[in-house]
Amino acid sequence: MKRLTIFAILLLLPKLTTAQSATNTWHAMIKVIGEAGQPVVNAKAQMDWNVNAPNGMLTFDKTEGLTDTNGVFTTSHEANGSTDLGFSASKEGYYSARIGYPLAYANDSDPAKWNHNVTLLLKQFGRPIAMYAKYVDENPPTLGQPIGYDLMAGDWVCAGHKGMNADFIFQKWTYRKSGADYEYKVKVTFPKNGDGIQIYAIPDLEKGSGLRSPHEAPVDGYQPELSKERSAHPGQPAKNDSDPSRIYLFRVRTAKDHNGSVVSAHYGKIYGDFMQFTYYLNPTPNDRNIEFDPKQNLLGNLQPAEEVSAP
Amino acid sequence: MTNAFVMTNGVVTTNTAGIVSPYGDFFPTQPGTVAMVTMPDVNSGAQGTGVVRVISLNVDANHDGTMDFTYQGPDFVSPSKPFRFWANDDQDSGDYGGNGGVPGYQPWYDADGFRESVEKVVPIWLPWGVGGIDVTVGRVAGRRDLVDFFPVYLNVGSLFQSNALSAGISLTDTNYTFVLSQADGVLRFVYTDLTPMNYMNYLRDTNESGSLASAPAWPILPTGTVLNNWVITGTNNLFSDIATQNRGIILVDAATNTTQPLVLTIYHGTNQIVQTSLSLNITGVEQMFRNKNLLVEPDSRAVPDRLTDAQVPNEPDTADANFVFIHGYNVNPTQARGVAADVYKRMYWSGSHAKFWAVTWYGYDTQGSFGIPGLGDITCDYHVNVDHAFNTSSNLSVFLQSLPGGPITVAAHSLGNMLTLSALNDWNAPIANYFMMDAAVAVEAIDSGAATQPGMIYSTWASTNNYASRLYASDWWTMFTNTDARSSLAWSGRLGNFHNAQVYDFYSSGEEVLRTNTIDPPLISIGSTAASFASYLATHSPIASFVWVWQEKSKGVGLIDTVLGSTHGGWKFNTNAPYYYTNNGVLTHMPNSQASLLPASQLQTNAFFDTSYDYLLFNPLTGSAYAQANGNRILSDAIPALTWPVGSNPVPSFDDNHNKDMMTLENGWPIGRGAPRWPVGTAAFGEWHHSDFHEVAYTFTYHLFDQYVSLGNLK
Repeated sequence: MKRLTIFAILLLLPKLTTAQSATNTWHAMIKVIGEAGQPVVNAKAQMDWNVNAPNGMLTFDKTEGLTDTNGVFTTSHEANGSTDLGFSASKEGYYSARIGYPLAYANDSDPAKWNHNVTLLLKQFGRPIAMYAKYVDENPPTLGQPIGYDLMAGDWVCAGHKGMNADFIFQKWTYRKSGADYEYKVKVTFPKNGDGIQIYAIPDLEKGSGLRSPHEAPVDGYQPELSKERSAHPGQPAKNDSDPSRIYLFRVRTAKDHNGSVVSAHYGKIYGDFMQFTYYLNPTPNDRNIEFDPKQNLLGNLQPAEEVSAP
Repeated sequence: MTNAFVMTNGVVTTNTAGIVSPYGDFFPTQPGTVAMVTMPDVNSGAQGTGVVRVISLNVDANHDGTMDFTYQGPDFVSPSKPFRFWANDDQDSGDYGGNGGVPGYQPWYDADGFRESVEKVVPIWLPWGVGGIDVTVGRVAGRRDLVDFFPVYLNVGSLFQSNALSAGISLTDTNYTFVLSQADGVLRFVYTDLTPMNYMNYLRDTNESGSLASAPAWPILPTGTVLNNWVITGTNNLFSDIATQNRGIILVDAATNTTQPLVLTIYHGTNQIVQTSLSLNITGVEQMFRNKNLLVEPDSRAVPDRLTDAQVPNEPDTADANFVFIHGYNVNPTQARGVAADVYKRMYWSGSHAKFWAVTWYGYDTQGSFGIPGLGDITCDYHVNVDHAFNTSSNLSVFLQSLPGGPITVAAHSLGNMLTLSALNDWNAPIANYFMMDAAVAVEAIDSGAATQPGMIYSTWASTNNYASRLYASDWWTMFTNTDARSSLAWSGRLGNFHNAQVYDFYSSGEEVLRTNTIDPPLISIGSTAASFASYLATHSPIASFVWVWQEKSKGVGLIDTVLGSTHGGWKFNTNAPYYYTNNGVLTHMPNSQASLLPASQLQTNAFFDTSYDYLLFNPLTGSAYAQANGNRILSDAIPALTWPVGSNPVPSFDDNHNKDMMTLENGWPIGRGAPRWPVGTAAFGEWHHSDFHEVAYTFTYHLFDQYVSLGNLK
């Protein structure tokens, strides 16, 4: 009988150990809404996280389910070292959405980290179209001089390049004496009256959407000039108004009638900032749709690093 | 014969297809269908035309991404100019697994399964069209393994082409047998659906590489291996696809060294009707690139220098340029061989023709293995290796000065950038282009104007205490004029003189090791032993997150000098008077309102931070000389950086196109590698972690190497 008791205790030990280590449980709620703020029912909602597997390799785990009539999915999970929690939602006919939440990496015992509610916006597919799209990571061929860029050719408008019609005009100045004394300036202008650019202020809710931009570019609000500066000089505060997560909307090839009304223009968008950005140009005049179908890039012969995969 | 003309679509052109002699000899200079025109008849003057079909085995010998078939063209190979390639003798697994690229690790019995496949294979000398027998073969060992294969074009399409003058082989004629053979029997091949126009997709298209990632790899036997027409290579069977779809690319790898050619023989029944071959020279990959050992301590694992042509007998043709790769922290000589081999292979497939030099240095002091699955080796004392980097930099500069003509491009990883920047800044190393990759160097070391990151300040100095920066160990150097060596005890601007080098920051916003973090290091959880540190890392994913920031913030407040941080200087307070005093019986630390007003003359000799270990530094008589002699060591373990690491951030003073976020260079990303980051950015699929440049398969990372080749002008 004594031997049996010891055996029974030994059997219990692993379970006791496991129960003691699982003192935390995280809870999360995903609310999925559409662009009008309405709940999206039966959307697939998922929470995933990193976790270290027993063999020491980093793996992923997840819980998932469908949103209810309020567009809500709730779940909980035993805290087992899980980190880098991600929330995502998807539904056919919508762009997926995802945001990350660095769950309790360094403060495993912090109870404030164990509950989180997120709202995800699912944007409906509108009308994805073929566009001229390219990632640009280069300076104008000549610094200090205004040089045109042809969005339909994907190249500069100057000798040795194949651009024919300037859509944007870039003028860039660079100066670097040292790590404490430098200046990079970019001036963006346009050749046509009515052309211009504007910043799209991304609403917080849209930041996780697979379609980062709005579906359409606005009719107006375009500025004919934009200047960027990143600089530092001894004894002066550094300046940097560049933001790689920025979105610009633009209008080019504008034609106006004698009343000054726009009769024709091409619209597009830019992800990134100057001079590292991805541009998208709608080929159809007066069509303000800027939803890109990545399978229909009108620019051929792009280098692999110039290709565009985001809508 | 008078002429040999190229035939295109059955029409005789006027383009010469080779050299002919009046006696009927024909030396073809390109494969394809050839119209042979006879000498005029002596009586009638009439000439006859016969058809010859010229076949070949072609490779992209100059690895530029295009295959040229012409005689003496850029991809021409011959016994005196064989195709040079490496043996597949590392261990690859999946999209990012294996032995880190270490070559010759288990030759013949590696994870690629090569030897196993040869041993298990049953005879497969099968008549054409029989096929379908279930033989046991090896397989490609994941996408990572694909760089160890080279595409070979079975340029036999002309055999199937009929024209007005002659009929080609009928696709239904089963009397013909196509046999690959190789005298040493060390080759394998993989069927593909690729053509000579898109063959690089096996490395550059993630769908294609995925479909080939575990494809059967058939042995090429000395006695011959029949090409199996039952294999579907796209839309149809092998020979149908060759005849009508211009397919015919196979992937070939080698288990070990060989100089025996790959041979294609075509039989009709038992009669050999034609044969062609591909001259090969296959060796271990280290016979193809150079190596310089800059270890400051002897290590039996280190391989000898390979500096001369004779020491790299299988080096392909090189251009007048040098590419130097310098590994990072926690890389021992064996691991260095793997990283170098991986990078060499990737640069090769991105078209580099520069001489490739791998540098091995001592960045793994205190490395140990703790048997924790998935963790591998760990080097727990970062600071001593920073010191090694500084101490190696003059030798690196001397080595770079010794390289043969042509501009020098350097790519350095992680702490290898401390070594390289020091060689550049301190020793004016002759570097034309320099690619910092995941650089474990503070931004302020390059940009002296970079603003302090509040998150880099240890909490006891920030928050409610809010001590003035002039009290920091990091700013103590400002107390001295530049004639005193203590004025150089600064990370700020320490490595900012690039001379004439073009410097690029290849950082990753998805870093884990260099990830930014604003909290204090969890020193108690990490513990004071290497084993406890290893255990902590292994249980907090992604493994080794934040450790660069934490080692900086642990300077002075660490539990021990050899594990993440130090016990002196840095963020440790000077516990002596007058900074601690008793006020109404309560031990009180001097508040900032008082301390910030302390004169420089006092702080020079009695700093507000800990002075116990390097006490000679604070002696007016010995301080400058002590700083001169110990400056790099003091920087490494007692002077905290106040800015984020370069390797996870753009350098503010660089032009836009000199800051490259590697997250934007991903070509898709392996599932399960790094947390997904979409939809942020334009092409980011998952976090690009610290060593992913060589651990993750080339198919996902090749944009990075293309950029190296392009920016370094290394084609």
